[in-house]
Amino acid sequence: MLPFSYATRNLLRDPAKLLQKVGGAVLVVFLVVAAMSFDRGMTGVLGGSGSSRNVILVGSGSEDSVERSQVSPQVETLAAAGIRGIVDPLGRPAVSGEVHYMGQLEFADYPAAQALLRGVSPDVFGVHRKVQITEGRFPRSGEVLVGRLAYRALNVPQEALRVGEEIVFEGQTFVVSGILAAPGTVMESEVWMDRNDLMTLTQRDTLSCVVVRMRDEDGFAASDLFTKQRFDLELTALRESDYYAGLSHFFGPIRSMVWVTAFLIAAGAIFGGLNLLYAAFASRIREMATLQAIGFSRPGLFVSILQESLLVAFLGTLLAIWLALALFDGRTVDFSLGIFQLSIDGTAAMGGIVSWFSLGVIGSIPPALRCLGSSLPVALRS
Amino acid sequence: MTNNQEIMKMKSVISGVSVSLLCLLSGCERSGSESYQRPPTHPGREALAAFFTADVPSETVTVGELLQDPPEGGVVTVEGKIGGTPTPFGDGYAVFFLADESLVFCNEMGDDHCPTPWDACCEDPDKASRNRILVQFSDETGEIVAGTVKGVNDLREMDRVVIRGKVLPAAGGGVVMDVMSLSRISGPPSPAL
Repeated sequence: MLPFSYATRNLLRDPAKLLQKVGGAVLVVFLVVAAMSFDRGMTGVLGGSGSSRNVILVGSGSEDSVERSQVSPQVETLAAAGIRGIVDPLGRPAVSGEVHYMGQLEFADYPAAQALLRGVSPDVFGVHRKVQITEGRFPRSGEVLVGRLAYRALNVPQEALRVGEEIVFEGQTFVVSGILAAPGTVMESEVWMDRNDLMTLTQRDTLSCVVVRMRDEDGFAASDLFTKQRFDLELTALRESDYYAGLSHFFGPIRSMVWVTAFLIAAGAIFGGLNLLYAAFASRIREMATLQAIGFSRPGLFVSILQESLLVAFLGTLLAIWLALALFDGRTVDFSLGIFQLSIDGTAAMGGIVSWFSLGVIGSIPPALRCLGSSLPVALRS
Repeated sequence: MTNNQEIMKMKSVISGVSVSLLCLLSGCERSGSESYQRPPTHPGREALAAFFTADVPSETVTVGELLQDPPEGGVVTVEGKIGGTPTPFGDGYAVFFLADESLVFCNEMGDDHCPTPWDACCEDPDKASRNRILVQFSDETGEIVAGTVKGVNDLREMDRVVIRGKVLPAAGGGVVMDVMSLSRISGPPSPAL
């Protein structure tokens, strides 16, 4: 076996070619890490937004979009009385009637923007357990509670949505009463207000949905039974987790496009890199043949080539992960349902490591074939 | 070792590494992939099977006829087909919706592309809601049997069945039938020519 220092010395033999090879590895690993981060961020925020213990009662036929649903306000009371197994902290059933509305918000100093408005009552906190008010208080009539990341969804500075600031909706001025946090959910990009205010301004006398929180995941059956027994109410019961999983499936083509794009660009970099390696090792055929002539075995030489390839890919991987952390870790991406953050977590980093190993192994094959594929006499004369 | 032997050995090492890598990558399970899970057996399924009978009563009324003048507390024999809604079977409780034969299911219209042809989505929604009843299976204590009745004795959506049972008032209007016996007439009807 050749010493490891042989591989490291060979790397520095041609700095220009080394930079090209490392650059190719950087591009491939960076794309893999970026695509993984995007995919995990989007699926994570949609998966985290729904609880398997929450059941959404929506109008029949509106299972795909809560905003289109219409539910009688009396369902809130009927569900609390008619569904067995609802959590009731301090004796109050965890039932939340809500209005979901995509509306335009106006600002004094910034352009108007669309936001998902949610009309709620204080019962909402019994159902959506991830939500906390981090600043201020629950909104009264004429006030709104904004999500921690709502300013990014609205494309305004964070100062525009501080407690005490004003926004305009349907010609009415609302004061920001507080900030809510719900890490890993789409609710962080929403604007919440008093339910009666939203119903009045949007001229509706129905709710969008009623959300109930069950004692355990098996409690869904009782909610489903309620909707069937009260078929006069024209309701459908959905697990909240299933609802958001369905939305995640809706965005599947977008996530697939991200991977396809990353793959196409990475494939170009890989093939370019392989071509570079194949040509670079052409000058080392005689060197390899000489080493064989003095006693080093072909498997041993292959291991040395593999070491070189893995070292190059490792340098590229380190640089790629550093770039990914510097350029987009923590950045937010806006989509129709809300906002998610890109995160270079352990899984994305592991994807980078797998890419490194794959690149290193694949990158060793063309030079190995080039240098060690022919017989010794032929190689010595090349 | 001769040169040719070394070449072959080197090529075999490269091949082995490549195959190992391919096996490693292909063995990775895609996130979210589903593997077959045997459906859980509920003690209630045996109890539900006891409601089924091979004898088909001759004198029956349709769901529509029953809804016109439901005899509350009385025992009737009604004929219909399972469906009228996207999820006619209860998820966890032994109930299902029975629709009147006059409701046209999608496959009866020649449309085989609908994933849930029993939902009668092409029908007027008001007509669909006015022509279905809820059927429930209760135990000796009067509690609805836990566990879905779907699949018991191969019972499926769009099956035509005859049910003998007690008519109960439904909150908000409509009819609920407490099953005494169930006879399965046939499976899904043939599509219209």
